[in-house]
Parts: sequence; structure tokens; C-alpha cells
Amino acid sequence: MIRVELRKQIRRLRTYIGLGICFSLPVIITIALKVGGPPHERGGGNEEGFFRLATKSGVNMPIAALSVMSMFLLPIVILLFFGESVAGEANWGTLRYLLVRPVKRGKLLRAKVVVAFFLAIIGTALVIGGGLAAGVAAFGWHSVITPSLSVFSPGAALERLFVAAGYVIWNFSGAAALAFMLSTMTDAPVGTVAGSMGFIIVSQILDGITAVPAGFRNWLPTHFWRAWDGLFTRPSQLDDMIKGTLHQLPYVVGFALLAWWWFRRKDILS
Amino acid sequence: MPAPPIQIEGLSKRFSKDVLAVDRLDLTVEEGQIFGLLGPNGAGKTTTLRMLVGLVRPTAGGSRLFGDVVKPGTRALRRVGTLVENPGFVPHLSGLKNLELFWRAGGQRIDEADLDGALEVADLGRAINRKVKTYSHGMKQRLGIAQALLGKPDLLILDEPTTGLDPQQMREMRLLVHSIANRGATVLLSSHLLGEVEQVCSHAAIVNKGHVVATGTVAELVGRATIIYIEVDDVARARTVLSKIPGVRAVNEEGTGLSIDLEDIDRKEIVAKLVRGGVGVETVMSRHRLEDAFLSMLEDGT
Repeated sequence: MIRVELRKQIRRLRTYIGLGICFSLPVIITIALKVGGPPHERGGGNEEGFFRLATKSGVNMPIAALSVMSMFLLPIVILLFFGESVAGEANWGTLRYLLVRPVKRGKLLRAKVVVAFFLAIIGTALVIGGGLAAGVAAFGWHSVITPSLSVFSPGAALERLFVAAGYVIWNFSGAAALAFMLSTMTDAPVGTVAGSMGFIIVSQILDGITAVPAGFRNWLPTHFWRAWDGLFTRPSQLDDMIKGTLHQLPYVVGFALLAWWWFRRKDILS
Repeated sequence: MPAPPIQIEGLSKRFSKDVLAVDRLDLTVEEGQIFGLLGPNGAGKTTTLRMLVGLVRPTAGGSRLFGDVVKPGTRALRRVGTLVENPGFVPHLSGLKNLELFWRAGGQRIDEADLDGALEVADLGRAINRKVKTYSHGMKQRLGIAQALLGKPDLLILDEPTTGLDPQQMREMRLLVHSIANRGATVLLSSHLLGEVEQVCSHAAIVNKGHVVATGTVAELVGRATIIYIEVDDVARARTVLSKIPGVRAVNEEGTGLSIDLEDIDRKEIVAKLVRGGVGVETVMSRHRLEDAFLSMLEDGT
């Protein structure tokens, strides 16, 4: 079942484009930095912080790439994988033919989730892979200097980046579960991406309003999205990452259960 | 005695307060029958078929396939091939790949699918390796039938199988349904076309407003009486010959031909007697008595 789903999803223009963006954008940014020289001192946010230092070492580049991609582009690609999974079948008119086979609906959902997750991991890996390959080619294999002016050996930095990537994927899972839930409810794949993206944007806006109580903002699904940069300080600051990981749980479990409950009793009219 | 392929009891589906699509529908289809579900558009045929294969949850009542209570993904679906409304395929994959993935998605091995037999039915030649999005409507319809035939199902459920086909393809479809039935399979097909049910089916149920108005063999539904329309070279002589044949209840002139009301006599016999009586017969057509039956039953049902 999972292999069948994978075959179906992987050879699609949409998958190629999504994954292609994940890989090529870090490469393009690297080329831009190589040609245009390092960005000027501007201070400010983390991606700028990482970017300012991106030319110091090739291994800085994938960190910068993950940082810039994880706020907007990567979530869109990943939400597309999750949001399209069931609604896309309804849209093709193939959902009913999947469900007239002697297969439990829960099993179909599981296969869909596994494949979407797999593609999400590939997408994130391509961001890092693209950044690393282009970065090392352009700026060499040196120790990493982070915005907090800590220094890591290339190997240690990659290990931390690996953990960071896992954290980033996990932090999308609340929104991804929402996209998946919407996917079981509608026949329009675009609506699922729009809906879950809206959820992320609303969360980010609320998070930006300092008048909103911190106790509430902590529970916003995007509040701890950046917490992985705690891995790149000395000593590591993992408190926020742990909170972020836990605070994502209610969204994942809630939306996933709703999706399952809904889909099992859904009338397939598409 | 094994359970019949299809047993539907008190099946109802209410979509909203105002929409009662299926209303306490009862139906049994026995093994080997070619069963037609005949009714106007919106009679609840498609909703009934969708409930029968577990796509839609009934509001009340239920159905059994080969004795198994139908639930989503029920095991008995292994023995069922289905075409629900239009065929649906993954557009960016070839017809062949679509069939393969469809079959394997059911957790079954491809060598159990009788893929070659299905491909023969699809009759797409080399186009089977082209992406489905390049197919015409008729090609998709044939591929859809081929998909339903994968694994040589014991029961075939076809929803409006001839929709969008040209007359030649419709004829092929009828032949195909007969050949499937000859193999011993049971067929349930829905249609709003009387002629189709009359030509293809052994049994039928007339459905209106979500419930069965009448059911039986097609012959029973049509009644023993039939009307034929003939054109002959000598109308006067034909009338004389016909007047001597028992079983001819009435003869009326209609345009350039004659319409003949028959009871308990084959139209072949009529033609043979006319020819022996020296009358040249040019045209013989059956009238759709089922149409009369259909319309009068629908009127009674309202």
C-alpha cells in the first residue's frame, strides 16, 4: 500500500517542482552570495545573522538555508504534500476506486501519512543538501561561526544541523496534520494548503503581538519554530526546543484524530 | 445454499432534512443474473450502488455481499468489480500503471489480477502505455471497465456503463456484459435507458424516488404481450395473412407500415408466416413495451 502510494506521488510534476525548489533555492542563494559578496552588517534577525556569516564557511550555508526556508517556503511544500494526499485523489476521481477495494480506510490514511512524511523529510534533506553542496563548493569546508559567535567544527555543526532538521519537520507537523485533516474533508487540494497556511500565518501574527499574554503565545504552533538555533550556541539552549516539541503534540494528536474519525465515517461522493 | 451475491434490506439514505435519496429499498440479486436497476435520473440508483460497496453510510437498513454485511472496505469486495459513475485514474500515469496500482492498492498480488484479460477488454493497443490524461472519454470508459474486471470478479457492479459511448461502443459493451455473465458472474448495472436494460438484462428493478416500484424478470416487466412494427410490400395481403394467425390481437396501419399487437407468439413466427403467405417483409422492429411499463409504474409510484 505504501509503495503504491509512493509510486503515485513521486512521479508527479508537482513533487518534482516542490522538491526542486527545496534543492535549488539554497544553491541560488549561495551563487548570489558568491557573486555579490557577503551581505553587509545589518544586525537583526537570525536568518540575516546566519547569512551574514554564510560566506565564512560552506557549512554555514545549509544552516542559513534551513533558517530562511523554514519560515515560509518549506512549510508550503510540506503542507502541499499532506494537503493533497486525500483531496488530490478525490479531485482525480480515484478516491472511490481506492475505497471499493477490500482495504480499511484507516490503512489508506496511514499509507498517505507515511508517504507525505517521507516526502517532507526528502524536501528538508534537499534544503540542507543543496545548501551544503553549494556552500562547500563556494566557501570551503571550515569551522562554523554562529550569530552568537560560537565556533563549531564542521562535523559537530552537521550533527547539530541534523537534529535541527528533525526539529523543524516536527514543528510543521501540527500544521501538516491540519492540512491532512482538511484533505479528508474537501475535494479541493488547494483549499487544504490555503487553510493550513492561514493557520500558520494567524499563529505568526498573534505571536508577534506582545500584548498577547506569553502563556497563550507559548502554545501557538509557530511560537518555538526558531528554537533550534539554541543548538548553535555554547552552551546549547535546549529548553525552548523541548517546550516546542511538547507544545506541538496537542495539535498533531487533535487534528490527526479528527481526520481519522471524520474519514472513517465519511460519505464518499466524489 | 450459498448466500446471494446481493441482498439489500430496508436501505435508506438521507443526505439532509429535505433530501431522502434512498427510501427503504429492498433488492435481491441471485447468482448469474444480469440485473438492471432502472430509473430516471435522481431516482437514487447511484447512491444505492455507493452504499452497496461501502462508499456511503446508510442512514438505515443495510446490505450484504455474498452474505457479508457491507462495511467500508469489507472483505467481500475482493469478489466485486466496480465502476461507479465515471472511471477515475491518476492522470500522470499510463493506463497500464493505473491498473497495476489500482490492483495492488487492494493488497492483492498482480499475478492474481488476470491483467491480460483486462487489457484485452480495454483494447487500447499501444495507448495503454500513454498517460491517461491523453485518453478520450471512450478510452477512459473502456479502461474503467477493464479495471472493474481485474481479478475476474464474481460480481460486477456497473453504474451507467454506457454513458458517453457511441453506438458502436454501446454494442460492444452489451456483448461484453453478456460474455461476463456467460462466464458465470453476476452483473448489477444501473441505467436510465430502457432499451439498454431490455437488451442486456435478464432481471430488472424499476426504481423511483429511492424505492423499488417493480421488480422481476425483464420479460415479466414487459409483460407477455409485445408490439412489433413491420413494413411490407403488400399491406392488404399482409392484413389477410395476419388475421388468420392466433396470437395476433390487433393490427393497425401506422404510416407506411403496420403495428401488430402480439400475445404468446414469437415475432419470427409472424415473419415466417407472412413470407409463406407471399408477403415481402422489409422491416421488423420491436416496440419498447418496457417503456410503457416503466412510465406507467412511475406514474403509479407518485
